[in-house]
Amino acid sequence: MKISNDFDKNMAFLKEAAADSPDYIIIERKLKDGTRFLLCYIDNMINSDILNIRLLPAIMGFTGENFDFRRIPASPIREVLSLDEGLTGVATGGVFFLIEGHMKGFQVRIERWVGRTPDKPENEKSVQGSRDSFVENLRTNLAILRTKIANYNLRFEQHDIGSTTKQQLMITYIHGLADEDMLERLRKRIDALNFDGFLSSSYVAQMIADQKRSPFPQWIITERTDKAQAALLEGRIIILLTGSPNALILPVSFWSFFQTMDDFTFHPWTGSLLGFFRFLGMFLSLFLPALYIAVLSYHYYIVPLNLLSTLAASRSMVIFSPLVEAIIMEFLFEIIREASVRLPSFIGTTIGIVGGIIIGQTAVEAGIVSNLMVIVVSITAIAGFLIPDQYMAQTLRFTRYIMMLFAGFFGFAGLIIGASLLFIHLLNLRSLDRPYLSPLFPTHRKNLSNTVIRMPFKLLRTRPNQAKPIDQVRGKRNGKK
Amino acid sequence: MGKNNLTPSQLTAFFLASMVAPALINLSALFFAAMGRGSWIGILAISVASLFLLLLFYAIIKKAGFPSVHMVWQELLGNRLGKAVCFLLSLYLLFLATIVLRSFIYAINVYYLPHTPMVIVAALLILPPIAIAYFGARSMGHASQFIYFFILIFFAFLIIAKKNYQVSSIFPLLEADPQIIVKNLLPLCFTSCTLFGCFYLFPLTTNRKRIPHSIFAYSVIGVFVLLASYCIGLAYFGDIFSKMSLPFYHIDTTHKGRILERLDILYMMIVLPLFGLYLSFWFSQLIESQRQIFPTFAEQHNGWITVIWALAVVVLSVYPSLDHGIWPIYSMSNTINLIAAGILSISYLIYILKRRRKFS
Repeated sequence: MKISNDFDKNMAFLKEAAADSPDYIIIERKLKDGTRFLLCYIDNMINSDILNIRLLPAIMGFTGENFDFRRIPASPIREVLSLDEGLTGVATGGVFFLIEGHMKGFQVRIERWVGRTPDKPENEKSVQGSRDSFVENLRTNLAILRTKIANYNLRFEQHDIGSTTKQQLMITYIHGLADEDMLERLRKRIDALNFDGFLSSSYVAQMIADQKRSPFPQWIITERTDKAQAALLEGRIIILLTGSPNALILPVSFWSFFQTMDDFTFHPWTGSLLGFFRFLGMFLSLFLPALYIAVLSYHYYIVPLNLLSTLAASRSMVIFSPLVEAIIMEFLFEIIREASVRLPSFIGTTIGIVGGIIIGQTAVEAGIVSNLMVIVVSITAIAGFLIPDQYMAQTLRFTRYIMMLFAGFFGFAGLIIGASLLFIHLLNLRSLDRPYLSPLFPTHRKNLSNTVIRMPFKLLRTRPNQAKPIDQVRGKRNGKK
Repeated sequence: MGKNNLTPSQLTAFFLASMVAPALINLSALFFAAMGRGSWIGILAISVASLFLLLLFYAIIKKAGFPSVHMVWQELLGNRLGKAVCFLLSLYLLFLATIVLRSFIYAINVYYLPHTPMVIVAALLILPPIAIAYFGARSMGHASQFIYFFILIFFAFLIIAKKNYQVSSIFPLLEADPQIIVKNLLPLCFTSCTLFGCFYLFPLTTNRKRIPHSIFAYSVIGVFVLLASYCIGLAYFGDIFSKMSLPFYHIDTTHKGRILERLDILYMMIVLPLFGLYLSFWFSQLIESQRQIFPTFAEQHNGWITVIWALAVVVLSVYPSLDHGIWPIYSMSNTINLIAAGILSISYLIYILKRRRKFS
């Protein structure tokens, strides 16, 4: 509703809108000449000291005719033309005031930041990386990034999303580094978002993804501020959202899911070794049970004879086929894992012991699974934990089942077909319209160092081409052509 | 494929996909069976002739302004008749995809999955080509670049068995009768696949000035792969090489190594993706031709078109019984390929003349 000339009508509208909302405060005061004005804010969301000591006396010092918001010692103050807009501002920690006889309202932001202070990252540990993480408060997150990148080219572009929740979303990038076309593409996707509320950044990520049907993440969600900082310096774009303690990084490549800050804080040799182990973990997590099934079901002759006899002894009591055996074991493991994640940590440990030792042991003794299968599933599970990104780890777990089915039905031939399908899928995936397997497919020789092997900093002078940064060279030329 | 264009290097890999798989499966053995120890002359002759023909076709297509096959026939025969001819050509592509799949099913059925019904094996084998064709040329271009990796690994495996090679088996080099070589050139003209395919692929290529480089690269690598596989096969098996249906598979099964005892599984790990790429070469062109003939329908129902044609390929490759095996049809298809390429080049020439008249 537009702001009316009739002060009482405006007041009535606001009071009706705030009915049954005791936290909404609507007060009426008078200016020096007796002109009425009203203030609307939410209790506990604004800094009441600033309101009472600075804002109210300053407003009350004007007369109705000489009111000039530019002379109020608070900033920023913005003119508002509709009562809905004023109320929306109030919901996000603003103070809305309206003076009798004026067709415009005014909004001042003096919000009190409610929420936790930045703490150590809980889900993405690092040995030598920074110890702060993003929090739910958007302004705090902006301040963290500003502190880390003290450059006026760091831009935060505000978009309002969520038809009911009215959340703020910040597209964050370094001007002069991030590709304009890419930004434009992202703006369009963000503006097209139509949903009542976004409870997490991953809501946004899933809705703006290039291929929504793919289980593979086309974004990275991180709570680590240094990871976001590194992404910005590579010309990538960060999305921050009110209420979400994570940053969304776009565009990303498949390889970036296997990189951690420690790869770069350690020496290149050790960093590369860590990267190699992570990739090995990925392969084991994806293919080990499928290989086991294929070998035992179809190609047992490739196993050396002395090992084959041990295998046969191990499986002699098992009543199920290798595929069923593997599915039972994986299923058991998933149940235990899910239970231990959802339960409090002290019970979680008990579940681990019960699941791992008691169920595992008795399942072998009962002839449901073989010893070797328990080992295979355990190695697969531990290998899966090497993958730093939880979203990617989940996807690989899901893909593992498909590989197991292919191997169970067609042996190695099925496994190869399954792997080929997976590869073709990855080849065609795009993140913000940039190739997912870059820099390998399409090949950018200069950027090959940004995959598994961690090169020395001397060879990392070129920014990854995946985000098409405007300035490709790191260092003094930064931001200048 | 449409708007997703191929780069020249991807074009090279795409062409190679059409001949490396047969070369590494049994093409060299077929050459030896037909031409004896003079096969290398036949291989070189076919490769040189194909190089010149590809360059000639490139010149014709370039002169015409790189129109698609569909555009050319539409210009020559009008909308409906042009579409009908293009549809006939796509049926020919269906035939090619079918015989390729049939030969794969045979190999997999005999050596790896003897108890699995042929139709299931066919459905399994066509899954990667479906995915590649569905996503278009960009996908095919990227996937086919893997061909170099497979070639390298393939020869690396063959090096493992080097102890069993007898180089003297390759000699005497000039044993074959020139008349026999000439007589068998046409049925073994493996490069005719590329000749026909070039009419579909050149118009989809970006940076067209570099297409001749792609043609040269394809010819050189292709000749090398075929000659190398011929020499290795002959050096390992001697005269029985000509009787082998899957010679390199047998190298892998007969080899007794200390570390890698069984290479046949590894052979399959290389050959299956090569099979897939080879089949994709024809299948993706088939789907692309459908996209050109029925652009609006294909845009809306890309998935359905791909699946329906895949079903057609599966059914046709499984059910007709072949008394004399697949290879006579294969040889015949080489000849038909050449004739089809000739017809297409003539259509392009007429298109050029017609356009000239129109503008003058």
